[in-house]
Amino acid sequence: MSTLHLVFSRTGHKACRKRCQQYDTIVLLQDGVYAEIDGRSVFMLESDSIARGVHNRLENSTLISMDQLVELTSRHKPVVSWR
Amino acid sequence: MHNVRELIMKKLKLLLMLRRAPYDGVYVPEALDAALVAAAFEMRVSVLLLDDAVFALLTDQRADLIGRRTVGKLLRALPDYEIETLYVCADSLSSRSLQTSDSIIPVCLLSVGEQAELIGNHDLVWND
Repeated sequence: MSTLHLVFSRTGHKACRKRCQQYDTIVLLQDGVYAEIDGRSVFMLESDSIARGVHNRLENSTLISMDQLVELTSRHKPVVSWR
Repeated sequence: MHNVRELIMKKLKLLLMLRRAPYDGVYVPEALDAALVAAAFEMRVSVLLLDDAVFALLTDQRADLIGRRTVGKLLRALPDYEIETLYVCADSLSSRSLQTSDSIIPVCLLSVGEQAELIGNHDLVWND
């Protein structure tokens, strides 16, 4: 199983981005949805990104529901949170 | 949710990533306490210091002056609990003008790429 990175802030994203591998999965949530993405595709939590008005800002992002996030956590190991 | 007994029986590999400055709240000493407990329960524990957490390595800390526990001393206790290797982000160290010779205990320096591999090699990762 590959690693799932949960990114909760812009600083968290900076720290995460340097330390993730090619096939890892990244999910932006809470203030992590403000992160600047460098061409890599990411998931964003739908409610957090629509609440902050950033859901149309990132080209390579896919919005996911909380249920889909739970599904992702069950299919990855380890799960790493970046605050 | 993991069953505690299951975690112990499988000798799961736990990676503890510390990113905060050593006296920013109680995050670092509390996390190190957790590492010692996990190791006492025979989990295989690794500790990685990055960003401002590398300041925990400095010698001559005197946290009693601010009413705190000295984090450097806690790091020195890690080998007693069979946490033999302390991993440190090489970039975080050099960008703060620190060297391994400034460290209170021997450390293993890792590039960011090596840290990505380290993360992938563990079952559980705690990151403050």
